[in-house]
Amino acid sequence: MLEVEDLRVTYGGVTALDGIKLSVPDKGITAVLGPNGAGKSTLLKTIAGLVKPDAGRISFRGASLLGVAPEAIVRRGISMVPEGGGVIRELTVDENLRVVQPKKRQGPDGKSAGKSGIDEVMELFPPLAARRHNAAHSLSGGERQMLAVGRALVSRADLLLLDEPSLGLAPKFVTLIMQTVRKLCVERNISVLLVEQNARSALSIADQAMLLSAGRTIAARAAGDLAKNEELWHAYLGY
Amino acid sequence: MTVLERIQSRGTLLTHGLLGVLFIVAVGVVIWLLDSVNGFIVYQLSSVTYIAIAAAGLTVLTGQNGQLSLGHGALMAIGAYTTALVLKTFTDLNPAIVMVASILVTAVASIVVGAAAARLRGPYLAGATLGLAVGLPGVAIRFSSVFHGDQGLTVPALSSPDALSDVPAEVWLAWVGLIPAAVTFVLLANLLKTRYGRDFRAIREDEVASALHGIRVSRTQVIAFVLSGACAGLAGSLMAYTSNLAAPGSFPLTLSLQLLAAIVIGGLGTLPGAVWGSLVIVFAPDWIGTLNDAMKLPSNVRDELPLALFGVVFIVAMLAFPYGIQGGLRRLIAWRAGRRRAAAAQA
Amino acid sequence: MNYFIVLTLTGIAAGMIYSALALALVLIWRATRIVNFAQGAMAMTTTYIALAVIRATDNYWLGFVAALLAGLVLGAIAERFLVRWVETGPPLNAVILTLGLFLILEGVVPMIWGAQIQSFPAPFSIAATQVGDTFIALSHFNLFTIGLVLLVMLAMLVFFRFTAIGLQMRASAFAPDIARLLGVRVGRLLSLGWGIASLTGAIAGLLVAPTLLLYPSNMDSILVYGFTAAVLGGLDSPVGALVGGLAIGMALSYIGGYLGGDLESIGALVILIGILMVRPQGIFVHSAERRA
Ligand SMILES: Nc1ncnc2c1ncn2[C@@H]1O[C@H](COP(=O)(O)OP(=O)(O)OP(=O)(O)O)[C@@H](O)[C@H]1O
Ligand SMILES: [Mg+2]
Repeated sequence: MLEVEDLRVTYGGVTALDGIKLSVPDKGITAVLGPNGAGKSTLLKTIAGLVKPDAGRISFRGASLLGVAPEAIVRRGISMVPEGGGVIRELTVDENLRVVQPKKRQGPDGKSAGKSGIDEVMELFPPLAARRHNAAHSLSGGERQMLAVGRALVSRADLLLLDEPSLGLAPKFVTLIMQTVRKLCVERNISVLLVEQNARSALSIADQAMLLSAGRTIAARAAGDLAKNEELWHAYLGY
Repeated sequence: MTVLERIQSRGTLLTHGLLGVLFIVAVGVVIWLLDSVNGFIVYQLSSVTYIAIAAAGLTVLTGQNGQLSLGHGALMAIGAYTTALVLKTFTDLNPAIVMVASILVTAVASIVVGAAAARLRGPYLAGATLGLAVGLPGVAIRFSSVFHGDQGLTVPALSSPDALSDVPAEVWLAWVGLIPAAVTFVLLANLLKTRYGRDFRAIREDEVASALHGIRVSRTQVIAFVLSGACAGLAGSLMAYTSNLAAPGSFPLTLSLQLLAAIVIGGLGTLPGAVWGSLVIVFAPDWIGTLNDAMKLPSNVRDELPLALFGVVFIVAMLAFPYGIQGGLRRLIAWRAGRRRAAAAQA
Repeated sequence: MNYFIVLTLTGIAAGMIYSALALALVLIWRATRIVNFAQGAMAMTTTYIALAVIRATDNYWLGFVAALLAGLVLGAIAERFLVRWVETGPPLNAVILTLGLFLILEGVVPMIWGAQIQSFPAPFSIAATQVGDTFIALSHFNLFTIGLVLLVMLAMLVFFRFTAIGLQMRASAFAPDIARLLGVRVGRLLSLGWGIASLTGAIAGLLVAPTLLLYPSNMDSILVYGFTAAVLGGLDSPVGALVGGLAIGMALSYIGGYLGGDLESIGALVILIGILMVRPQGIFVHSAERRA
């Protein structure tokens, strides 16, 4: 579904990504792991169109994404949850969900997608339903992450880019978020690119995984294989 | 050691001072020679002296400190009216004393406006000074027993001393203008090299970082504004001497915007740029007039063309240098430094 | 009628106009963090367009609609083709750009329509209203002014609170980068936002001209009053713009009535300085003080 080749990204001379190759299948979860500063967020931002690459190709369903504006990429069916969630603090929970512009559907049911999507999110995350009309800045960290993930759902994306959805959450919430991501992936038949610090829980739900360090791909293989490779764990994930 | 190096080692003020004296003498001679060719140009050059003083002040505020004033024309009015009122009471007072009085009064007015706007900077100072530019003429009209309303106050012409009675009036006026202009530029150039100048620029680049480095941001910005206002006061005084008048019609909002145009044209942020910009501002209407004679434009187009063109200059300058003319300049300097280094490496 | 009450009523009517211009400034400030110093000049331009249409068609309302449409288009064009390029640069550049627009408009309008002062028609009588034997200081046109501006405010409120586009515009103003990630076409909405703001400004222009007449710089002082009103209201708050405009309108009416009309402009400056000294964040901003 998404093909990334020879991707190179620099920030004013500092190389953040160097020759990344990545192939994301039509469905399933691809975990992206790596130490701080490895370039994980940069990879997601580049796919989402927020960062312009210096070289390389990114294509989604055969069409290049290079030079496409972030808002247009969303409409093609890629939705990103940025690091920290990126909820709009001044808007209410409900408004945060309503502002999402869902992917354009060919079918006649396209119009109602947004509305029913919001109800679905409320069912999925009951704590959000209780705070539906509160401003987002009053949410707890966990509720905020739920809202961020919920927003990605409303977008009806075929590919979700999740940047550390469990950031700063209590173990209970980490499990909830991970289970939700897995459930969505299966029920909706979508693909997820999941960036995580929390390697164990990410690998527990992922199908395949890639390991980044200093902007380069160290390993890319089935999630189960990576989970067993002690050497890589020691060298890059520090366990 | 060359003579210049020996002088330089004695300090920048001395260097600048000597350069200033040289400048006065050189330009003074040029003006005298020019007068036999075209007296009107000499008259306009004395306008350049006061426009350049005001533009230099605005350069310190806008170019160096990053604050915008839309009211420097109004501050010039304060200087001009002070001059007229002082001369009304003390007819033969020495121009130097009159100018100092104008500077002081304008500086006090600047403190009031600047201190309030420094609370919250950015658009607030621009808005407050806009209010000054729009509102001040009304004061002259309301209190017409003092300021003589729309007619304004007359200012006696400067006469050359008896020893120099051969010197034509317009040449004498231009000479008199050169001295305060040179003094202003020397002092400002010097100031920009001191801690104050560095603080001004640091705040322009990053207010938060400056505060963290212990710069008192609000205070420094008020200082920049008052200094800049003082220059406008001096310019207004000189303008009153030049035009023999202080009247509300001479200080419209567009005067403030012309001063801004001068520093935008000259390259926001450099003192020499203020001089080039002032030359353009004073002479552009003539050039456009010549152009018009060739193209036979209707009079309402001709009258408005200079201002509209300044507007185009603002926009083109901002679009062509998206990171500010400061940024463009800095890039130019970096590029030149690079070339110099390359040249040194070759040698 | 008691002089004080007369001044109060005329102050309210004038204040409504300042509110409209303040609202235009606030809408643009919220969307792009820029004070549009060309707002007054743009309103002046659209009022000249209205006058041309009124003269050609002999119909005030056609001119009225033409001015609003011209405002919408002018604002959108200004954002799309000029402001767009300086939005990310230093704020100083954006301000200088709007001043460039100001100079161009105040230069080009007299090239087309002349610099002389012109009268501008009002849709309703501008004479004081007579009820029985007593005259009320407010004219029918004043009442129209008050009603129209209140209607505009209400329409804005409904638009921003209850429509999808309004929600997207708020999101773009609060967090443009996040809004983009949600598929919001931020660029188009910014153009629309400038358009709507200039439309509001155009209304102010139409309401000023019948009493203060029309000439190229006729909105300069109104811009100062509108800015003062916006700052009083917190620069970020549409409701603040309304209340600020009313307060400034009444204050200037008292200054004009008791101290002399020529002092209104400088009075606005004194009020502005007072606000900045005492309550720089304005009266209607709940969030922490904003720095530009
Ligand atoms: N806007 C930026 N400007 C300059 N350098 C940046 C910028 N963003 C990231 N970098 C640098 O690029 C490298 C990769 O950063 P990135 O945010 O992609 O790392 P990451 O893998 O997401 O790290 P973390 O696990 O801490 O979130 C780092 O060295 C970082 O300092
Ligand atoms: Mg990261």
